[in-house]
Amino acid sequence: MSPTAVRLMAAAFLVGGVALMFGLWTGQRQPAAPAPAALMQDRHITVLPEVRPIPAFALLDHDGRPFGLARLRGQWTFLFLGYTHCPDVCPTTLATLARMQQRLAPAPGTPVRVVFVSVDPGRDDAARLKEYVTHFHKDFTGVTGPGKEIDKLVSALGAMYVLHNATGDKDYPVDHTAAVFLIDPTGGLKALFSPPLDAAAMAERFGRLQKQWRERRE
Amino acid sequence: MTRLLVVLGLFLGAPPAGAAGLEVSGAWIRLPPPGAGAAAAYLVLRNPGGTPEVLTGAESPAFGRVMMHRSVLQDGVARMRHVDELEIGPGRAVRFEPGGLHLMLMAPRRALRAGEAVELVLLFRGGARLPVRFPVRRQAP
Repeated sequence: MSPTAVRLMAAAFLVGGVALMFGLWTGQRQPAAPAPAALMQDRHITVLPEVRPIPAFALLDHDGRPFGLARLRGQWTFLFLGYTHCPDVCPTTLATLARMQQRLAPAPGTPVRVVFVSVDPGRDDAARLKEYVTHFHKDFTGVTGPGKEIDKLVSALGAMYVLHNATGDKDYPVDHTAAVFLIDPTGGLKALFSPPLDAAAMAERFGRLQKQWRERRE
Repeated sequence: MTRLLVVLGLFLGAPPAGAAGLEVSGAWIRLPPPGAGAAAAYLVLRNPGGTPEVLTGAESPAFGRVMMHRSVLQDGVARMRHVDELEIGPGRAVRFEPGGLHLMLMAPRRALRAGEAVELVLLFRGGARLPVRFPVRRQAP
């Protein structure tokens, strides 16, 4: 082998090595430090500077199957807190989420789900929740469970609710955070959509986050 | 031709002025999920007259109880406030709309169907009664 060939091979290794290292470096770096474009904030959406992890919680879905952190992983989840005796805000939000879901471009890979968490387990059992959520979209999932498990999830989201059930009237109202939470496929809180909710704006902004997620993984 | 115009007039003419002299538009009820204990009715009420009108409530044979409520957003939290009465000043309008004022329809006596219309009677101070037909819809008009 001529000295020139050796030098060329050495140069090729060096370039390849640097490229490999750079690839590893950027590959590791990107998920931890998203591009500024990822930090959307406007009237409709607030993307958190860092994904906020959600601790373990143990609820049940409307078919009686366990619904915890594992059910949030590997999918995008639009999560809304409410109660089925809610006449205005909850049906309005679920109808908007149904329109939003219809607008999403069909994308292969990571599924997109809508989850309605009832913070009113005293009145909302699985059967009632199922009737309620599937009225808006056949693929929506209703979730509820013991108050202390609901509270784990609610506080992890930075949300709140108040049951006004002290008077004994069975038609008591419930105060609840009105935002829609977006959980990313790692199972962490990625963004919040603020009311008044707009199906088209939500679909468009979610589409951007979905695209970023895909690009970072290619 | 005259008869046709009369018929057209029924559909296209001025919004019906009720007992209270108010104009009603955009009335609808969001189709509630089966078994839901409550639904909401929305409309716009305009007062073309020269004196204020005060809405005190509503009733309907289709529901056990009708209440006026306002959804309010306070520090990101949705709350419902009971509204006892609502004044509609001369030349003013009030909008009952999703996420705001609504007529809360409780204890339904039968299941509602999309496409039907349900009558509610709006009640005013002084005893005036204004019947309004609310089409039942899945989505906002």
